Amino acid sequence: MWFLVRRGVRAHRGSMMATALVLLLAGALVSMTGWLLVAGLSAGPDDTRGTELVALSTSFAGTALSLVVLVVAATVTLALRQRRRELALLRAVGATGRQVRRLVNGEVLSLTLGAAPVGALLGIALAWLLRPVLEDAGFAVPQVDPLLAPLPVLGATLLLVPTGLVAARLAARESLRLSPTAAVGGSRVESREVGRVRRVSALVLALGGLVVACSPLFVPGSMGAATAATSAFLLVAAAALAGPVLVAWTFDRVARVSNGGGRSATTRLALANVRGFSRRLTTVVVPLALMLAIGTVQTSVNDAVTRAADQQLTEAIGADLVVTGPAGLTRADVATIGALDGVAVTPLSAVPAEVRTESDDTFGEGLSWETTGMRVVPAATGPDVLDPGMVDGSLSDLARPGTVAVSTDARFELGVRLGGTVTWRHAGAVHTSRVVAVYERGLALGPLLASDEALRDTGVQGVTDSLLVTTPSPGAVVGALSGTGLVAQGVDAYVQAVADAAAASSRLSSVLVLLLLSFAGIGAANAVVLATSGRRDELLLLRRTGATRRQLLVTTFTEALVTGASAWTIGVLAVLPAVIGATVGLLGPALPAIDLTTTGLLTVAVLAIPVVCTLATVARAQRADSLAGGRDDS
Amino acid sequence: MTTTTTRTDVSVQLTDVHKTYSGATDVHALRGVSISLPAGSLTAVMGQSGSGKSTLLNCAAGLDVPTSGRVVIGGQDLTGLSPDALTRFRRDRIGFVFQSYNLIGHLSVAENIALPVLLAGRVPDQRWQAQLLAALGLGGLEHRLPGHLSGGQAQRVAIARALFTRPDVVFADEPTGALDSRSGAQVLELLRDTAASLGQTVVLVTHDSRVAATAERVLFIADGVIADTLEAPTAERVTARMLDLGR
Repeated sequence: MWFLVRRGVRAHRGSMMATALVLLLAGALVSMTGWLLVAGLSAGPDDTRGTELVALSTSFAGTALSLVVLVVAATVTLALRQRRRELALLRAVGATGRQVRRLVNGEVLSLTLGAAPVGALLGIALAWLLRPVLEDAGFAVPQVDPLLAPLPVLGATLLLVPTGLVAARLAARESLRLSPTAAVGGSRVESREVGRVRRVSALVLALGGLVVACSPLFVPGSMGAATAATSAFLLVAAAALAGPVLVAWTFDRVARVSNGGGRSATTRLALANVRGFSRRLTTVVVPLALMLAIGTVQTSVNDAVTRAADQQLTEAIGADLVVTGPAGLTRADVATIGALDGVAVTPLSAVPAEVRTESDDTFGEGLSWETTGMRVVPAATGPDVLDPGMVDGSLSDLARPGTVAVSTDARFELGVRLGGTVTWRHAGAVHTSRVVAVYERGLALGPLLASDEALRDTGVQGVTDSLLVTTPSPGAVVGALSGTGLVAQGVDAYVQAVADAAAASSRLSSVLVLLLLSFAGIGAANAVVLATSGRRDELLLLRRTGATRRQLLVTTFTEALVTGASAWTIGVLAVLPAVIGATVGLLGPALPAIDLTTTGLLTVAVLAIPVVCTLATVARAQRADSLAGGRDDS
Repeated sequence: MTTTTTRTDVSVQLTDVHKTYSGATDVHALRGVSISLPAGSLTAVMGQSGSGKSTLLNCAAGLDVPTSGRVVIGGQDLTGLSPDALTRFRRDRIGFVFQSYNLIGHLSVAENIALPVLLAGRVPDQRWQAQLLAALGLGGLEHRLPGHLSGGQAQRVAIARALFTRPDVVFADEPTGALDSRSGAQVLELLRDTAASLGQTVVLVTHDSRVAATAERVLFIADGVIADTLEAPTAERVTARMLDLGR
């Protein structure tokens, strides 16, 4: 069989190269994520830098791995679909089903084992290049333990090999299920039937996606929003499974309408092709829809979280002014401002802390602690000055030593309840505090609230970063602070300043999303080129039947536009439940928080990629055909 | 699963074979075909387009599975064989020549011919391959790819592939359909002579009365049933029967 594998790889080097490119990039993406995770774990359990990096890489891994699996599966499927006739012929000549599977597995395995490790090494280089961006965002990358260094490469290979093999097996199954003669005949036309298992899986995924999209209604805060974001993947996966049926159903109706109208030959031909090759179209549509879904959902959910945080902060602060300084405020600053006539001050401090999230260390000590912040407020603060939105207990309960208040998000995430305990650590010392209150404005104030009195026994002291000022004459306070380096501003201006600072540190998030989008975009372009180059014979036949060069270009252009529009529709439909769920969960009934700039740019990309790649491939094929023997004018 | 093997002089036996293709409207391609072809015979199958000729050939050759009925080739009952067991049987005991050659484009002529043997995990008999290449006029073309062959050459490669495993029966579906009359006659003569020298049974589907006339008997098929049989046919008698069937 190996001679067939070798010959197959050589004969189909175009599609093999395309598949290898996607496998290489997938290896890079997985390995880069793995490297960041390994770096985090290498830092050891007592190093805050490690836990921060572990949290970042695990949250990025969820999206990256889903994307990698879907794009790799789509590429392998498309590359093998072009060879259905060859596989059917082999069966007709005497290859058993097992032999065909071994042939296909052999090819995919050779490609993956060749491309994935190389990609994985590139991924490590990429992680290295990412260091400045990580450092800008406040992350520091620790030295990787040499013992753990091979893990990202191994992990990338171990993920990509089974993904490729499963996709190859499913693609080969199409040819193997039919009799050899039906397979040889059927390889020219596609079956629009979708198996029962596939239909049921699509339905389960679609329903699962809708349920997950509703999670912000039950899971509070950013965690609920992040969970809702994953619904877009489930819905795109559902569309990938049910694609041929959806496409055929839609375009059967379009064709029925077009029969009545006087559409041009090229439009009719384009619609007939889309309808007849619904599987091919689906495989191209999936990476495009994913690209739109990832970009839109990430930016939109981030927007919703930011808007919710701003809203919560505005509602929480009842004071007239907020005073901040470039390096925080000293005790003297607080005393000076507090001494101004008619002024009441409430200092807010921050304590960097890590909170224990796991009850055991199954996955290593590094995964049990999550970096967070503890906000320290005077226990006597009234709700007119700072209102955390208490749902249980009150701020005055924090006057007792060893107590803490948790946000509703943290209560869910840590699995604690009123009267329970939270284990946290600061500067290497571990402390346990009893939960005496629960508040809902966690996006604005952070997950943990304590007071100086509550922290007295721990010896932990926060750094005052802002001062809430209540005064009948704000102008006088602002005037008094001029020239001191301190800034006093109204609540709205303060909220805006906080939002601006957060936006500056979101460069990392943008770079990571851009990496995902680049991978999805290259995967999509690759899929379009693969699908178009596999149609060379079909286009040549049309040319010989009488289609002019212009008609061919218009037909393929229309098809590409329909492909892009289908991908856009599926992408938008997949994203909407997530965005609506996140918006309603975080902001209540409000217009969905869609990042219009990103969505607009992605719309252009989703329409342009199929059009540009299709026309370039068709033009190249036509040029090659006419050079090969003047077929162009035959 | 039970399979039966019996020694017999009958090479191909079909008993009440039905084949229905399910769909929006069921298509009954074969409606109870029973035939019995002696070993070493040459039989032509004729009929109008859509009469069920190719379906009959595919079912008899184990390329397609009948909806009901029994197919026995060289004493082996194909009914109930698993797909892989059927493939192995077909690979070793049956040769098939497709109208559209069906050669693997990236394998050389020699590799295409040896493919069934290679798939069986055996070492191809080089001397036998050289004999076949010479007999079919393909000497010197061993290393060419199918894309660089003429239609007649490609069909001769397909015939060599069908004969390479020394099968009991060779089925040919319009083997001369895509060739000009000269190449067609040449290919047919080669197929007939080579099969005769090996004592093989040949069943071929054709539209051409002159091709059918070279067979020992012609089976006429219409609407999925055997409508007539003609022994020791001549081109004129075959044409006359076909015209009768068309009325």
